[in-house]
Amino acid sequence: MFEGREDQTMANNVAGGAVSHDAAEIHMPAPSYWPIVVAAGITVVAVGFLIHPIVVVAGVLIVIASIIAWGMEESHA
Amino acid sequence: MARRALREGLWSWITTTDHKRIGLMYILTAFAFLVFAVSEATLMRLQTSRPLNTVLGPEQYNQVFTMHGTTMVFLFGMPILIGLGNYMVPLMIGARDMAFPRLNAFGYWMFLFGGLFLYSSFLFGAAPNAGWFAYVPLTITQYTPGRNLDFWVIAIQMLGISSITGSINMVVTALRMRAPGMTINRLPLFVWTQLVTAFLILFAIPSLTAASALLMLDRFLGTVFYDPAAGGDALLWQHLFWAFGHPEVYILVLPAMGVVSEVVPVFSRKPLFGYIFVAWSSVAIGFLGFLVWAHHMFAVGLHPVLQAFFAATSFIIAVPTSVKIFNWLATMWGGRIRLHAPMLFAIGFIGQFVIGGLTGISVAIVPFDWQVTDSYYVVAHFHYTLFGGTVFGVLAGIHYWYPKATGRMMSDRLGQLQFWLLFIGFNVTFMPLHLVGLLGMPRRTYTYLPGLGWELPNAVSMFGVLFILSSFIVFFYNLLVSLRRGRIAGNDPWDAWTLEWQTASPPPAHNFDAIPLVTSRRPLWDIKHPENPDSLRGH
Repeated sequence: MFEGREDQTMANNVAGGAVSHDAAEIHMPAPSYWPIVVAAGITVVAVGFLIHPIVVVAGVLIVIASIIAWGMEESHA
Repeated sequence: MARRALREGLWSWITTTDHKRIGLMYILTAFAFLVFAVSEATLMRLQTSRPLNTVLGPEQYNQVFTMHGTTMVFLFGMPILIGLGNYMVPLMIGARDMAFPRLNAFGYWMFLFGGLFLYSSFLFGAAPNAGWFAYVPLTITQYTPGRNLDFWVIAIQMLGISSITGSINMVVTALRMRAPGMTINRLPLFVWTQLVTAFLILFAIPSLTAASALLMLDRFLGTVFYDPAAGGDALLWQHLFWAFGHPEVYILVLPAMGVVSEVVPVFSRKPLFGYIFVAWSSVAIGFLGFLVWAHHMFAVGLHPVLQAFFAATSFIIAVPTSVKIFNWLATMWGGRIRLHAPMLFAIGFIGQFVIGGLTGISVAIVPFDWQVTDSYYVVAHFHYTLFGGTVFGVLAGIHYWYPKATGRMMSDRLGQLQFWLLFIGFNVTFMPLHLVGLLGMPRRTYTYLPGLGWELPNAVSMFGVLFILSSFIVFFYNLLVSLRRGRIAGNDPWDAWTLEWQTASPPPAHNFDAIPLVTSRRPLWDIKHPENPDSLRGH
């Protein structure tokens, strides 16, 4: 762990003091709206604590559904 | 068309998983909350600037000081340091992003919603009102009915979720995403402090979560964990809270120390003196930070053995802190010092943090602590560490890395003006508070009678606030105007040595066209000076 990362997927072409890639090879994380939806669900739970238990239940359902959707989403563009 | 572009632009920020955008969102949101916190502090100083003042009533005053403390700790200090880490750490270690980009976004949204939830309490006239450490039994329903503390305890849980997810991400990123050759002993020192801080958060926040969960049970379900009248234990809260609360001080200070460790060498034109000691002193501070919590509780009547233990550990933690101070000074010694704004703020950090550290040692002396506990002396002490230290360190970092994030330089002239206004304003505001504390003025009192000798120090303190406000106006003006009118920065405007300066300013979405191979602690020096690389010197 402490000896630096030797990532085989990365080490395609070592030259000139750098590991270079073709632009097409670089896969960046895809945008996602699930993080804000999960956070919004937790906020609904929080508001529910102050208002009514049914709101807490609604918030929990939002959180569970959005975490499942998050898990099924493709993570790279 | 313009509306569509705005919508798509806004949507791209809402759905972003790019660590740089998330970092900027953390920083901008934290500055927005800073505006609230500074406004609250100004109201407090105004109210206490003369005896029997009526700017605020007692209940309003309670709400304002509680929200000021909670905001500065949870909505400014932590998130702005996490934001700086979010933006800079992947760039500094040669990575394309954080390890868990969507979790990263989630952490930000929890922070934003937690902050908005907390501040929405003002709309209902029910802002938290029992101080940022919410001591029981004052905070159980019997003594604080209403929603005030409900808002606080729920918001703390939400912000805890944000901190924990952010820290998991930081630990995995720093340990698993490093460029080839970036061994742990070649990590930039800012990354070191972010890594140690992340571990501190992971071990400290659960204590606060547990304490808050018990308080929620007491308040919502009528349990009696904290109700002494029913067999509960009021000191349980203090132990659980400060087991989080003192590591929290280092959570707020260590990353600022990391900024100073980056800025001082670059602006002294010398490699950092004693890298290994500076790096591992962070680990020592992190470890010892968990062994000092009860020095906040000397006044409760601890067993003498415990008092001796916590006094001793509080003295010992000064050692690794001093190691950093002496190494920064040794780095500057004989260097070609450039007094640009980042360096001024770093030097300000060092001087003021030393004062805060020394008064910290004084309150670790148990009999002295008994005299000054809960007085303005303590307020002055921790503002020298958290304002004189952390805020100055943060500002050093903003001035240092602004060109990287925006592609333009901030005005150095305005930066220097801001520094001197803040330096003068900070010291004029908080130095007299030591005195008024020694004269017996307790903190958290909304007013006082004339003739106690407290008038002059409080009036002087209010005068200093005017300088602080002026400095922040200059700062925000500089931030905005430099976006358009700032000099084009280029990749490496400070002639620095760490990897973030190798890529474009602002960096492309993928950070680096080619992942760098690291062969020393100053990889960019090696590239710029192939005839004299650090790697030949074995660093």
